[in-house]
Amino acid sequence: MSENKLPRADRKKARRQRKIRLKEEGAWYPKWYWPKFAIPGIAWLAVLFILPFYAVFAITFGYVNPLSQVTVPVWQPWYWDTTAFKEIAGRVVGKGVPNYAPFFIRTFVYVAIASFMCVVIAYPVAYFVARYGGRRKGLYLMLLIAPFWVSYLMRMLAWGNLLTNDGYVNKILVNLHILSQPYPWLDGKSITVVSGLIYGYIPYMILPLYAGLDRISQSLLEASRDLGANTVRTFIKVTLPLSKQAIIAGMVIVTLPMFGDYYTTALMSGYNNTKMIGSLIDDNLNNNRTGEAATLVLILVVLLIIPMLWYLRSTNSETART
Amino acid sequence: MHPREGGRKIFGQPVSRRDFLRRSAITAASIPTASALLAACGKDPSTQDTQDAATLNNPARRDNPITYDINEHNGDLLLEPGLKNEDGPFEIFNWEEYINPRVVGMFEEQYGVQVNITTFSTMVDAVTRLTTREQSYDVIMGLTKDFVGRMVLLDLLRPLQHSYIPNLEANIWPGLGGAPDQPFYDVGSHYTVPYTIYTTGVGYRIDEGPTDHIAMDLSYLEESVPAMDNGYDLLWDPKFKGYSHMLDDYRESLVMAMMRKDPTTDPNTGDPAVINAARDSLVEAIQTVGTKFDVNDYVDMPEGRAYVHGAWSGDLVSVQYYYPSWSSRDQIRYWYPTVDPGVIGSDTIAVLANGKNPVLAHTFLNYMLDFDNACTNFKWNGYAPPQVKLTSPTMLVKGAKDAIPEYAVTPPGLSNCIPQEADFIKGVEQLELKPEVDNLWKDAWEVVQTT
Repeated sequence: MSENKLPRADRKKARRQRKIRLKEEGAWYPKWYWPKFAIPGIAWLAVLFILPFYAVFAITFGYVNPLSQVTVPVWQPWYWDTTAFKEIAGRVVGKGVPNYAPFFIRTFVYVAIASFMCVVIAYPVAYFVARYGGRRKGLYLMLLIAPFWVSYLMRMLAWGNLLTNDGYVNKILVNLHILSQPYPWLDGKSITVVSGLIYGYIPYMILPLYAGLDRISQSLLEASRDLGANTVRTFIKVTLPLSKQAIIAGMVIVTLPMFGDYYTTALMSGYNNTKMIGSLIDDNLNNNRTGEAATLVLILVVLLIIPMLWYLRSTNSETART
Repeated sequence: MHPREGGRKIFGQPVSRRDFLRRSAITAASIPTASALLAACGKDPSTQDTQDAATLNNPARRDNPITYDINEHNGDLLLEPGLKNEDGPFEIFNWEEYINPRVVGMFEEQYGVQVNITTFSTMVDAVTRLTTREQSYDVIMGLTKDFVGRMVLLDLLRPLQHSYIPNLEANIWPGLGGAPDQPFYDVGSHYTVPYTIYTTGVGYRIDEGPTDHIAMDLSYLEESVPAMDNGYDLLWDPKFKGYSHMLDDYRESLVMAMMRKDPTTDPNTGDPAVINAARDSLVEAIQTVGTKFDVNDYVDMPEGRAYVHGAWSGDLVSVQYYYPSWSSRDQIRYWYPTVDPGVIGSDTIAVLANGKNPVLAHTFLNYMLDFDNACTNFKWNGYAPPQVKLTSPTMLVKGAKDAIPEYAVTPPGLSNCIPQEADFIKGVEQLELKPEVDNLWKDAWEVVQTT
């Protein structure tokens, strides 16, 4: 019979006995002994996440000083003015001017395509390094991390130059007769922005995928082969399911910053028809409308909580299973 | 690079002012200290600023000059004459790349002080940082006229002791402070001195035939555009579809749309019908010409990304430094109205109230108003100074008869990029708006940005 099924008095007694036994073995710790190790983490979260997040609320529901034009955060929730928030939220669902709905839809489409392509491209790379890297794994890893050494902004600027009408990309494509004339890559083309997102964020996908694939035991793959599965079936039935958590982790790592990204579309296009949610936030900041920008940040955070919860649920169920 | 831009260069590449780092800085700067938080707990904070709002309902205009009362705004900070310069370090608060480093170096050498420059990216960014941070600066450069009133009313500026600034009366155009009853936005120059002058017009390429990146012959523009009464039409011309850019600035672009329709429009109008008509005109440009909005006029045009571009005159003087190595360096011209009034502006320098070197700050203002120093500065940033000795704009144009060889860097084809004092009389200026009017403009601009 487990301890929980005993009568209450007996349960208490059993706990006392267990405590005495653990003390004798030197393995008993006070109730808050282990949780208190989380204090630095909690303090970190409080200072660097909860307080700034509250500041976003205070700015969202704050007001603009008419003289200095500076947005003044209102820290007392009982003074919060929700008028602007409601107006912006209305625009997001297409009930206001200007209509923000196309920007939200576009962002979700861009991010979905870019994230999917990141997986498609990064998976074989990570698989190769994990399975066939051998003694050169370190070298390959270093090469994978190399793009991190260069600033994201710099990499985008470099692509901006390569993709100009008289840039090398067009010159090569025209010389190879793939294009009859230079393609205006930088004139508000979705393909350019999505490609920029893929290029910019793919290293963040490769690393978690590599870490996940490298942890898969070789013996599991051999067992699959021994049981008659061919290479493809082994990959589909063993490798892919075991790397699911790595894929999800990679997706979370790349999608979250992509949703807030505005500099990729600014540098690779700059046109209204490729603007993302981040661009709206940036525009509002440019127009000294910090409150509206903070409202959009808040709405974006709420939307992003959904995939985060899915990720947590997925991770928890995976942990429970193993 | 124009002050409103706040752009920067990395390895020679211009980065749009949409610099995400400064965004976080602005937001962070909006967070007050804990003491302010506690102090504000007692009543609804938004009601505390109503008095401030009332002061903005009488913005300065040419026909409504404003004299700020020194006694009401930091009068106790007015310096006694004859004090010695402090030892520094001297702190300048400025836009990115808006002062010639050589001019700064010369000041350091002449006065034996170290000069530090801290940059801001928008005027609101500057005001936010000045009102919410402990850091002190001695002078602010490039203070735009539409913010002078706010800065004075917020008690951020120190009244000027003119005995330290003899160059103001001696060297500066009367209308911008050389005369004691000027300028209209700060009569008597109680708080500001002028820094640079500029106009807003249209830049256009005049390539003679197809090259790697110009697919059409634009040479005809060299003759036809100067004859145009309304050069703003260039920006709405479908011929330049995909190559027409305008300034990513809500005042500049909306005003261009207004002036295109009616050159006599007040660029500070509060009429919703006029503002909305300008908005619709810009939306039309986006839909028919594919207009792109940016502040990279000095790069996009020489690199061929734009054939026509709403432009600041000072940026076009600098355009010569941004042509590709293989390109001719005389492919761009500037249209500015010759008959109708055009948009003209000037920026100022002021001494900040919390600076630690107020005497040195006055000395610096005088130094910047010196003819040679002002012209040396022009050589680098392209924005001309309002100096009386510049009796003709061609004195700053290469090869002109009356050119001053050491300062004449303006290409001959862009001689109209140097404003004259008469342009201020004929031209119109974008000035401070009442808060509710400013909101109308921003609402219109938001629609343009989301089209």
